[in-house]
Amino acid sequence: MTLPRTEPGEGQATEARIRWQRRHVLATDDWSREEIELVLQQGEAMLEVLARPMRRTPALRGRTVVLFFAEASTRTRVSFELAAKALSADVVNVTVSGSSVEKGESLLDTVRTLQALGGDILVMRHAASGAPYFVAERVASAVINAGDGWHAHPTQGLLDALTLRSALGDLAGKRVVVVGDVLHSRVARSDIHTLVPLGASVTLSGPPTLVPMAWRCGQTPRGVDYEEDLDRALEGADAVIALRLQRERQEAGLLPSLREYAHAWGLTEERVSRMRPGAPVLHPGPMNEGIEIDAAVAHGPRSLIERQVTNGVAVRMALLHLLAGTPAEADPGWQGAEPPAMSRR
Amino acid sequence: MAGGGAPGDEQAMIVQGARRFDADGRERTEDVRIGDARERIDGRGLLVLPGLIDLHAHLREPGFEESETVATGARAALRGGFTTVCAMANTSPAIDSPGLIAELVARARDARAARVLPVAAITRGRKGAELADLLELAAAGAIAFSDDGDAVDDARLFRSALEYAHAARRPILEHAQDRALSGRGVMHEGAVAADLGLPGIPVAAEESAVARDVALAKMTGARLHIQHVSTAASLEIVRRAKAEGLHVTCEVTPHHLALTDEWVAGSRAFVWDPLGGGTPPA
Repeated sequence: MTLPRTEPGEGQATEARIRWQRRHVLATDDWSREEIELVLQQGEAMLEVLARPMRRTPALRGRTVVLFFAEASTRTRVSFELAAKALSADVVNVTVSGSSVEKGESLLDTVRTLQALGGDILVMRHAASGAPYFVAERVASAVINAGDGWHAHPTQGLLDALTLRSALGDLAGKRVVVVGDVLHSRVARSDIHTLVPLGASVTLSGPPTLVPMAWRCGQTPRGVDYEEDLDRALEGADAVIALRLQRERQEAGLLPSLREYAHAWGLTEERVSRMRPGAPVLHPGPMNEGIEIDAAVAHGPRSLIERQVTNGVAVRMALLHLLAGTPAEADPGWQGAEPPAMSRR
Repeated sequence: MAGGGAPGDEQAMIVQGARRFDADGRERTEDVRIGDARERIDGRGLLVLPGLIDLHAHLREPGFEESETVATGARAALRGGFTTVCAMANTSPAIDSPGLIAELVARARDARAARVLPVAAITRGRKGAELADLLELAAAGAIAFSDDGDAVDDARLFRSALEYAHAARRPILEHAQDRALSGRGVMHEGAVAADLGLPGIPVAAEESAVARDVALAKMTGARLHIQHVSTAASLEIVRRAKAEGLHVTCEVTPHHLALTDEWVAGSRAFVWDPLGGGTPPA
């Protein structure tokens, strides 16, 4: 694969426009391998921009990016904000309290207001799975899903793929373990829908109460399997992604105790050494050190956790740039048309 | 034809050549004569059915008149061939007192459309805590009791409800669902819910409730009707109860017959054609 060396936003935009047809980034579950590759390539180019002393390119000058986060987030919101600013976009933050957007009616009101404000790209996070699909049907701006319920977090999947590719090269034939609270994890779903199209396989591991029953009973998505025993799952694996464990899961009766969870599914140095030599460790953050991951692993030589943060900005820059390069009038298919259904593969 | 409304003279007609379905399930093609037959209708390509009965209607009045009223619901029912509808009690306030039953009956009469049979709440305010006055409600015209929309979680209270309903010679219509198990689920728990990241409702949430309800119906001898059954095992429990001679019945909704959980993911592939011989999923 050849990495683009030109200034993003100028020469390549023409090429990108030919291959990039999407109006929204809602989930990667209906993306082709080529689309994922394109974003990763552009992300690599953006990393070069971020490595410069002057971390800014004029690609989105005069465009407005609205960040609409209806669920608490610092990392992802800041990452998008940095990405938009590095592309010279104007950034508007819309903060809403959780209660005012709990009902569909209120979400519709908020969306109409955002529509009237007239942003070019709407980045949204919402606690309800599917909310960005609802919004994408009703606004003229491009929509990027920054996390919807348990459903999808496509920029996380893409940044994880970029990070893994920088460490492992081509992901074809590689096996990645995703361990933890898969049931409630949009990160796990987006990792599956990004890594599998790139040729990797995904082994899920975690307590039976925190992995969907259908996925434990053979109805797993393509390229995915389940291994309850983490030691066995890690044996010979090429990488591991630990998921954040929400402490509420214990109160909900899904876990006997955090101590027991750490004992069975926490990443320790002994455990990660079962993987191939040097196999990397990822975590979407924020971490509960000592529960899903030991400090020695989180800050050890295998950890790519800090690199994920940088790659997150790069991938988000790539997507903002690609979406801004597809003006609505050049895309006859989108106006008034339904966005893709929350599809299954 | 059983179940039909009472046609006045102005409706006298003869329908020729239609497919006629009788209440006993038999189908034949023959002329249907209503009243004095002054008007003739070419019924070829049409179906003639007995007046249909909807065991599970929501007329939304009082409290949600912006969705439906007794009058609009009764007229819509008649338009769709339903000459009788049973009105659920999950209104606001819930239909849990004789006065509210009387008001519902009066409004239904004024609507001059489908016959409306009131179903009263099992518990006061449908809150599942105290029994409503079931004997008085029956005397006021309630034809059955249901907290539809919510299950009666407390098995002891549900037992009492069955005992009273039995005494009042009325059935209990139960929304069978173990709510601790269904939690905040929004769809069938399975591969589709897993993919979409939506909280699922396991089939056991319905099946365990149906099993509990049937056990209590057996003990009390009451008439029990399970609402909107959606799983094969629930149906099997009802079948066994019937075979045992218990007074247990159930109903199913069109969408549970015609759609699967794939529909939520955007698949519209399945089309059920009951009169054309399509096969619904088990």
